[in-house]
Amino acid sequence: MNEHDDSAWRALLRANSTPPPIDDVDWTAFHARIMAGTASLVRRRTTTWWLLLGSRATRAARGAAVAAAFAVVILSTIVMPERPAVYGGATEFRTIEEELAGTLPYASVPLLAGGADRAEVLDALLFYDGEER
Amino acid sequence: MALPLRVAADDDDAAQIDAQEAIQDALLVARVLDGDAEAYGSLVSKHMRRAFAVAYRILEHREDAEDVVQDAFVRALERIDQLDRRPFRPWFLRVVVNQALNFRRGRGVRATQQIPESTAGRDMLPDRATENADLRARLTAALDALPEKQRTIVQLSDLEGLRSAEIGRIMDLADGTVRWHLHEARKTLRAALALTREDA
Repeated sequence: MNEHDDSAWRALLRANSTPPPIDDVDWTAFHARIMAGTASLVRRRTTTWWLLLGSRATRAARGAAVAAAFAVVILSTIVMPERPAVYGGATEFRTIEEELAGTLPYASVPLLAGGADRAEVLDALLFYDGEER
Repeated sequence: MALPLRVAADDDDAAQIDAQEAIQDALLVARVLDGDAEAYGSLVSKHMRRAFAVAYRILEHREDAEDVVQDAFVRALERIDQLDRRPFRPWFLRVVVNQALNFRRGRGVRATQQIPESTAGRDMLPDRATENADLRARLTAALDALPEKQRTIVQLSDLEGLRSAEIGRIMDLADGTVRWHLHEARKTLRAALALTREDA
């Protein structure tokens, strides 16, 4: 189907169909009628917009308060200082055995131990009463 | 070769005008979304005639077409948030077409309004006028016998002069699908007219 056929066909259809009675419509009155039907909707849209903004602001304030509280909790766990040192600047508790073992001069171990294992050395240090057993 | 070139140039011009109109409409829609009733008034002024013509083509009844257009403007305003970035005109005409088709289905068969004498050929000889009236009746019957989709496409394209791309946007169809439906509808109409002519 070419352009000539199309335009001839269109012309035939248009000539044989009822054209819309554009000139019979009172467009001013029709426009006014439409606007009367939609005015309340436009107003409601404006009101809704502000109401929506208001409700969102309230919700946003609540959300911000919760977020702030949460942030305070998180920050306090990160920034809070460790428990104060019990003694000597140590940051954790140690047993007496661990402390003694740590302070035992490395060079004296073979001399003192004489083939004894670590537990026996610790026992010896802890229960030494001034006499050799 | 002059005609296709001219047609192509016309199409380009039409597309450019459509784009400019779409931008103007988008600005008006933005103002409507801000609650500007005057902007909606401008949209109504701009589109009511075309909307009425489209509704009238489907309904062939002036008051029904006016009612449908009025309802369509209300419905469009209610849903204007859903427009997003689409151009207003095809989106709004889709509302009009859907409203008109629903109205037509609900209304059922009803006699359409009388054809004004001016279009029926007032100055014609009686034989010629009778022949024309006969052709018109056959054409109307053949159009009515088309599937709803094809009939609407013929009405929008051949009678209202909308381009297939816009009809596609209005009816949610691909451009090629619109052209195929149009081709099929014209073929059916031509065949129907030829048959009735042979019968006569």
